[in-house]
Amino acid sequence: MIAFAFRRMFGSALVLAAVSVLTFLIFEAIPNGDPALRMAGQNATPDTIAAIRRAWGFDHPIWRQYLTMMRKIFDGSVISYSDQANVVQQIRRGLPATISLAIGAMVLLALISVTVGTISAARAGRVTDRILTVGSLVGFSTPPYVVGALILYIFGYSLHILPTAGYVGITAHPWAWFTHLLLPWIALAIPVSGASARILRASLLENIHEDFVRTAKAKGLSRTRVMIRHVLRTSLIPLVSLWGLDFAALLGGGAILIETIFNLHGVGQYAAGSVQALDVPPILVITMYGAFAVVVFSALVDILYAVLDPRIRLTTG
Amino acid sequence: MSALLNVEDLRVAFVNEKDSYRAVDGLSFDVNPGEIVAMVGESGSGKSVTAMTILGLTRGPGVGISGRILFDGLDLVTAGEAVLQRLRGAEIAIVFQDPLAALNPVQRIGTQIIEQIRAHERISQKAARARAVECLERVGIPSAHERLSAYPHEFSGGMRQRVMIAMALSCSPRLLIADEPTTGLDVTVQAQILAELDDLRAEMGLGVLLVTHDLGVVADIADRVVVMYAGRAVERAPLDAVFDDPQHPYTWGLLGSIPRTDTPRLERLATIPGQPPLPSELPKGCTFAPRCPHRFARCAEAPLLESRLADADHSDRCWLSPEDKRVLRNTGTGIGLLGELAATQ
Repeated sequence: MIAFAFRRMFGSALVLAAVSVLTFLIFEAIPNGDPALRMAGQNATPDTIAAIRRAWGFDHPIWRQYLTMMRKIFDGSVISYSDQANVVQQIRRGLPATISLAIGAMVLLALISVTVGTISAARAGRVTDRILTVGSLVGFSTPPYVVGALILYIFGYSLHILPTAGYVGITAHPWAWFTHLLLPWIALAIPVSGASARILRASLLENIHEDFVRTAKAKGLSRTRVMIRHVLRTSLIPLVSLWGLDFAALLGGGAILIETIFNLHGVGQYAAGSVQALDVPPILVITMYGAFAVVVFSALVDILYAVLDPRIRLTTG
Repeated sequence: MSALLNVEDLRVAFVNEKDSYRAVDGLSFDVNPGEIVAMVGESGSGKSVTAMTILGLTRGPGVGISGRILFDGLDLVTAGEAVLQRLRGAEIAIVFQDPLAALNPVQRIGTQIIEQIRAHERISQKAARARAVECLERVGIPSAHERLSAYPHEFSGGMRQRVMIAMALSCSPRLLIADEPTTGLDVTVQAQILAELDDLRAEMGLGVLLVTHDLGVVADIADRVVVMYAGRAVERAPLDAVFDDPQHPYTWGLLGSIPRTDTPRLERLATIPGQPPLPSELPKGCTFAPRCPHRFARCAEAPLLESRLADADHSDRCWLSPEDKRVLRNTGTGIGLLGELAATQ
C-alpha cells in the first residue's frame, strides 16, 4: 500500500511536469502567440513592445521563462497577462461553482444510470428495455452543450420556471443555489448516464446468473436483498473507474461549455475566457490543476477498486 | 416413520419458443431424518435440477413443475414464494459444487454467514457473529474467529467447501442438499469433507440428499441410492444392494467406472459407451436402451420403476429378470441373445 502510494505520487509528478511543459510549449508555437504584442495593444510602437518584453521577461530563453513561470505558480504569485489578476485567486473564486456543479452532476448521474440500468436489466428484451436502450443511446450521443441549450430554452426561456444563468453560493441561498444548478447538472448528467446505464445493464445481466446469486437465494434472502446486496453491489464496481474519472474531469474545470452556457463563473468558464484571450498563465495553471485532479482521482479509483473487490491487489503502479 | 422429504412423481419441464424438454420425468424418492440418500448419475441426468427444484430455485417463466415435493408434509411445488423463502437456508439448506463461484467474491465470509442467520432469526449482529464462529469451528476451520473477516479467495478449495457447509448448517436445517460437494477437490480433502458430512448427519439428525456423479463417494457414506438416467430414476435401493446386486445395466456401467483395488486390475477401466440422450431427443421405450449392450425387443416399451426382487426396497427400470441379470453380470457374454430368448420364452 505504501509502495503503491509512493509509486503513484512519483508518476503523478512526472505527468504534471509533462503536462505543464507541453502546454507551455504549445503557446510558444502557435501563431499570434506572442503575449507582448497583445499586451501592447493595437497601435503600439516597437519601443513599447520591447519594454513590455523586458518587463515581463519574455526576452529570456524559453527554459528560463518556463522555470520562472513554475516558480510563480507554486508560490501563488502568478498573474494573468490580460488583466493582471492573480490566477490562483481567480481559480479559487471559481471553485465553489465548479465543485457544486461536479458533485451535483455526479449524484444525478448515479441516480439516473442506476435507475435506468436496473429497470433495463430487469425488463431485458421487453418493450421497456428497448425504449430505455434507445433513450440511453440518444442521451449518450447528444453532446452536453446541445442538451444544455435545449433545456435552457425550454425551462428557462419558454416556461420560465428555472433561472437561466448565474451561480448563487450554497451558504448565501441554498434554494437558489439548487435552482441555478439544476439545469447544468441535467445537461452534464444525461449524456454520461446513457453510457453508464448501458454498462450497468450489461453488468447486472452478467452477474444475475452468477452462482453466488443462486447461493444468496438459497440462503432464504428476500428478492430485494439478493438484488441490492449481491447483484447490484457487484455490478456497480465497473462503474467506479468511469465515474471517478468523470468526476475528476468536471472538478478540474472540464465542464467548459456548460459553465459558459449557464454563466456559472467556475473554473471551466475561466478556462474558456483565458483560451479566447490566449492568456498563458491561467491556461497553464488550469491545465495543471485539471491534470492534478485526474491523477489524484485515478489513484483514488484504484484504491477504491481494491476495497470494493478484494481480489484486486494494489501492486501495479 | 414418515419421511422428512417425500418426492413423488416430480416432473420438471423447460419450455421455450422452439421446443420443450423434460429434465426430470416422474421421479420419486424419500429422505428420512438422519439419513443420507445419494442421487447418482451422469451430468444432464436431472440430479441438479431436482436439487434446485426442491428449493424452488428452478421456478420461472417457461418452467413447468408438477408432482409433489412434501417437506414435513408441506408441498413445496405449490408453496408460495414467501413460504419457500422462509424454508430456504433455515429448514432446507444447500451446498453447491464449486464454492469459489458459489460464495460472493467481494464479501467477507463472516458477512455472508451472518446475513443468512439474520435473514431467519431475530438475533443481534454480535450473537449471529458468535454463531458463525461456532459453525466454522464445527466444520473444522482453524482460528475461525479471525477467518470470519477473510474473503472466499483467501481459502483453499477444501476450506472453502467447509465454509459453504458451515453456512448451510448455520440455521440448523433439517434437510441438507449437497450438490456435488466434493467434485474438484483433492481425494484426501474429499474424504475429509464426506466424513464431516457423515458426522454432522449423526450429530444433528440431518437428512441429506447427496447429489453426485461419483459412486465412489456414495459407497462411503450413503444409506440409500437413487440412480438417475435421463431425468428418471432407473434404480432405487439401499446402498449395499446397489453394490451387491445391482439391477440396472446403467448401474453396472457406473460401478464398472470405479477403479477398484480389491479385484485384479483389468486392462482398462470399463466405460459406458455413448452419450446420455439429449433431453429434447429422448428415445422411446427404455431411455437407456440405445447405450445398453443387453437390450432386446421388449426394451422398445418403457419399463416402470418397480421392485422385481424379493426386497421391496429395491426397484429398477429394466425388463431383464433378476436371474438373467445375475448370469449376465457373472459371465458378461452372449448378452443380446439371452435377452432375446428371455423375451420369447
